[in-house]
Amino acid sequence: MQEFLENNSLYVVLGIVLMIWTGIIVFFITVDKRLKKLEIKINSENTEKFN
Amino acid sequence: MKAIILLSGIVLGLVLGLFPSILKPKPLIWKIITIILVTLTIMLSFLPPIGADVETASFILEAKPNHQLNLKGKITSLTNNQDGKSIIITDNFGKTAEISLIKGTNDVNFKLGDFVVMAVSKGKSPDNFNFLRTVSINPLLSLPYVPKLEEQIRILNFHVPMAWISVLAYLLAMIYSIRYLKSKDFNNDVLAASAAAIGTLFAILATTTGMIWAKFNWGSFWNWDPRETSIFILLLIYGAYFALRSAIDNPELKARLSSVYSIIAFITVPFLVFILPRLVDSLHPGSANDDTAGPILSTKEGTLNIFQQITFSLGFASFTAIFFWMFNIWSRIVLIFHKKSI
Repeated sequence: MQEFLENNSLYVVLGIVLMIWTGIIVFFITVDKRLKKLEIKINSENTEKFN
Repeated sequence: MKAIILLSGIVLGLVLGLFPSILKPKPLIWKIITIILVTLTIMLSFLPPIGADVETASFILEAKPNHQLNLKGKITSLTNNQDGKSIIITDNFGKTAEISLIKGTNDVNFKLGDFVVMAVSKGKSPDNFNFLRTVSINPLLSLPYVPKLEEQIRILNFHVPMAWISVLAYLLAMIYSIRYLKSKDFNNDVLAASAAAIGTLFAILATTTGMIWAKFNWGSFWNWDPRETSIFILLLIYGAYFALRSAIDNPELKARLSSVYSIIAFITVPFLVFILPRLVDSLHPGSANDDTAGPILSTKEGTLNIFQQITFSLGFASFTAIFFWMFNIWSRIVLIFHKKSI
């Protein structure tokens, strides 16, 4: 395995790119989730003000 | 055929981006599809080994005797003569080549009928090569060897979609600017600014990936090639857009002026990205002195095989979807801020 990866470093690159991509996915999903909560909160605050 | 594959990727990306709406939160299934698309693009760009056919390999190694490259073919016979062990492979075009196994590599187990991709160096004659190491045995897919580009062809799937997305984002900025001028709704102005910002981000990404590619293919990071100059001018034009926005305090004047500027700025985009670099001689594929029109638009067979075209088009689809996701998140944040400040 070690020797194979040393000779085919492209798979090491693939691994690193996939790891970075997973990090970006997690970031995107958490930001999206929090933003949704924030939007709900702000909308409810606005309706309270009007009432 | 090439155009259909490419267009279907772009259309898939746009459909994903516009569904269910640009600004509404994206449903979970949408996110899953986008993540799968990008992961697939990355996997298909990096996993398949690149292997040359016999004719290309002997041609390249005649020109560069100290070079080593990947050769692919099916093992048709295993021989054992006084010079040592050797194998005969037949490539996709039916051409055969002899690969001599140097001592020390004799423990490699080749089986008759295996499709192998292996690193080789120049041998005794044009159709004789010295075995260096096995890259892959019976890979599901393998890519053709493109002379001069070699492994760098994989950058294509990332570099070109970046440039396309910057054009798309600037187009979106122009559409929102026109909407602002029609409706005088400040939300449209804010959205135009976010689209232009993401567009500039992707233009910078296209420039930097292109610079790194240029270093290893043309010899220097920056040499004022027409393509490099045009993207530089484009970055300056949109840099001035943000300078204009930050220079005016009156929100109404700021929105009106920057909307007009953004509409005028977009008129230069097709010229700087699609037309100007094709009119003059350049190192970049698709220039005036490039008789193949570049690997993407070329109608010649063999410049990009069907599998590479599909991966390339998938790259367009997935990065367009990612752009719309980024734009969705960013514009929602910016709109919340904007509502608070009014």
